[in-house]
Amino acid sequence: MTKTLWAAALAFVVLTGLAHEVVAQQPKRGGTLVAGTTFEPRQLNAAITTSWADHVVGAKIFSSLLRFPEKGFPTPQGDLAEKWSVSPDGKRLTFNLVRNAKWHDGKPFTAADVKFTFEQVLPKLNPNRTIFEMITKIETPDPYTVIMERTQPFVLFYFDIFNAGILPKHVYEGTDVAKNPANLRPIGTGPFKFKEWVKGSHIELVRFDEYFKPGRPYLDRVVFKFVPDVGAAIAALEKGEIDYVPRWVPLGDVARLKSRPGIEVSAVGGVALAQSRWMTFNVRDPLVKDLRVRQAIAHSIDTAAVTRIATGGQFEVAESFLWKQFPEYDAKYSTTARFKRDLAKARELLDAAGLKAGAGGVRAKLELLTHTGVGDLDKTVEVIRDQLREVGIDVTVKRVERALAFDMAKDGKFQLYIHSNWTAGPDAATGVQRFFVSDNIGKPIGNSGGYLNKEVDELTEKALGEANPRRKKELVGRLQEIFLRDLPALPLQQWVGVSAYRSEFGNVTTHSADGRENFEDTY
Amino acid sequence: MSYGGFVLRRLVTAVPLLLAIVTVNFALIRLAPGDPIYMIIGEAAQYDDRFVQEVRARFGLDRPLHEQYLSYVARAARGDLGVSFYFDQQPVLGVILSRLPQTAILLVLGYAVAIVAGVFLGARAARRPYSATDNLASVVGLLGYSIPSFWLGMLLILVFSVHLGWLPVGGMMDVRTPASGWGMVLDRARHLVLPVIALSGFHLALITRLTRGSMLEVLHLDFITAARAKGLPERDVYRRHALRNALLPVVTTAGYTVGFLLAGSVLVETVFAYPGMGRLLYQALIARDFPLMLGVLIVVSVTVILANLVTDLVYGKIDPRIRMQ
Repeated sequence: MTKTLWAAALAFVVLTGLAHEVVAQQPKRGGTLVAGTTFEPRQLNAAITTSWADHVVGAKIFSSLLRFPEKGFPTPQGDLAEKWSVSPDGKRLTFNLVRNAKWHDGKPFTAADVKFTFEQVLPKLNPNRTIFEMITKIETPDPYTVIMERTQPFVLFYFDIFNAGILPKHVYEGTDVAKNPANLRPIGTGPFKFKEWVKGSHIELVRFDEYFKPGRPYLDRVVFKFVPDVGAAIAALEKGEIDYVPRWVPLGDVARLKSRPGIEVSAVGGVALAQSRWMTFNVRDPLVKDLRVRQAIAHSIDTAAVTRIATGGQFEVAESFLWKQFPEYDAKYSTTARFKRDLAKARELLDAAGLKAGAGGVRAKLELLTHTGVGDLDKTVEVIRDQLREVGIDVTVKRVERALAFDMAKDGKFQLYIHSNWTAGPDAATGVQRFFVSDNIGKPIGNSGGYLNKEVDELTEKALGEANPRRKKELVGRLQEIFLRDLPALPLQQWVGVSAYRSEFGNVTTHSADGRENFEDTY
Repeated sequence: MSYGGFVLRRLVTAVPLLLAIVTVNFALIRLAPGDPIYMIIGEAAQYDDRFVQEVRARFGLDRPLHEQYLSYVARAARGDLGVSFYFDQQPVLGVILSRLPQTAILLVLGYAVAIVAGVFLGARAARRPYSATDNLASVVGLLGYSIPSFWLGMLLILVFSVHLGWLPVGGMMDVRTPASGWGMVLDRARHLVLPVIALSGFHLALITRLTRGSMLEVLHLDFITAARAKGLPERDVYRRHALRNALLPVVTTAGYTVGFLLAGSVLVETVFAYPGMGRLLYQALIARDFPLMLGVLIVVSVTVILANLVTDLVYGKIDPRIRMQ
């Protein structure tokens, strides 16, 4: 259901704001938190999925070796690993595990569970398994130590360790892990244990009294209610039927919710995934392959204005291919500084490319591929179309459903393409590279623009294996310089998921990957 | 011909009909663009070719389309509707059955409200045409007829849940403090009020107007005049003579209503976060979950075929002139 319809429905009804008393913000034991999620999880095994819906619930049930709170990103925090160290060459990782962790069925947690998960499950069934396949050896000298080895340094590995929920060996060993019934009735070591899944309605978790962090968690119960329509979820939040709507609060509702007493709005929790929106150029297209045309487009678009109008200032302007919060970010490679809005220059470039103004001032007709279902994306596209019209580029918007847009993009059936948001983290090199390396041409969610540059491939390879932060920043900088020169895409916005929760609760949004906090200190 | 024989013959002719439904839907779903692989693997994943191939093979998507079709029909004939793509390899039939009771309750209630209230209001309005009651019924009927169910649902939520706070916004039960015993029944009932109104609104209006029109027509016929001349009380003239005859077109419409209510449940269940089959279809559609989509469509088709059969039987009961042939 569209946002507009809800707004219109709202206009029909006079709303009176109910005054809510704000409760003192001190962690307290007990209580139930009801979270409303738009998607029902596929299953709950946190080691065999990259789906957000699965992880949002799974993160409370399963622990990982490390966690990534938003505060202090990109430095990890210990979870099941108390301490960890890297060998000087970066190829050996040693984890010292907590000694008092138990599985929800009462069995003790040991290094054998970690070894099993990293050897038998992650390299076989995790959608990002290539990362785990690179581990050549896993040793467990004692029940609370795990040593992993690789032939290349472990530089980009920490976040993947977070992504990998540790599974109980005694439940999964010798079974078909992908079909194990425990995937639907999971047993983990996390702060909450699984109680019930009423299909289509909700999942109920209850406090795990023997959680390895004493005194935690604070809450007694966590319920995930599935509310497919985000407008209905917001209505339920305002009424107090739901306490927390992670990530998908429509931008149009933000101002109203902020002014409503009893509700907190939070944009914390997107850094790790660094969701970015950019315009991809199909460099195989006869028109778009001319660099001058791409530059002219970049000079015609005022990203600051687009972002202000389309997102009500909720998103930040993307000033480069990297999020500003990344350690490798350098203002030197800012696309917004390099391509200031300059219509005269844009016209000059188009003239040089042989695109003279014809009837009605039209110089070129281009088709822009985008997908449905995201209000601020629709607006972004409309504003860009208006801005391009000013220099005589007549843009036709082709708006199709998301899965279809992926398919058309994969096959290069577009001239310009804007997808709502791409995961461009958690690392400067891993996040961004997959959209520009030549290996990923023609692959789903890969290099859809067909950009081919040997130097980019080589630099990416180097950056991925570089352990030294200073040298890595330099390599990533060189990559960005090339992107600025070749312009395979134009960064537009830093997409952030907006969450909202009732102010009786605290420490709700704390994680760098929004929605995936484990609720151990939520109250 | 006996009732039993009639029913049996109708059921047998339903088999090729079902096969046609499966075939057309299979073709339509597969011809529609969009690859389920994105929903199965997720957008954040690195797409390495081997993994994509493995996943396709796991779900049988690597085989030629005609092979997939034949094996689907063969298995479906034995009651095996395959496994869901989205709900990680869970049997489609199980997933549907877990949602069926909720939709059945919603549908039965929505149907009952539409028919009972519709016939009552229609008959009532026809008693004094163009009176205040009749005009009110007409206006309400016109509104109900023109408001889409999901929009009506949103308005109901905003008025009765958010603004007045009388009824829950959505879901099928209070998940914060689950009740038991009669408390649970009451809680479930409270969650059904708004979805039932939203779902039945259109059909209630339709049946009200149909009954009114049909009653007015019948009331002008000779046999009504004859009945009145016989000195029958006005009540009996209305109920036993007029209404019974006026209901024939209403019954026909009511038969089709089941199919439309099922279609309406897709939107209503989505707006009210109600865990039924309609919302399941919407979920399956978004996720390109081919087996789940087909499964729901088959269950819906069977329901509609059965509803039409029941309509024919009821029709024969009401109007003895109709013979089972």
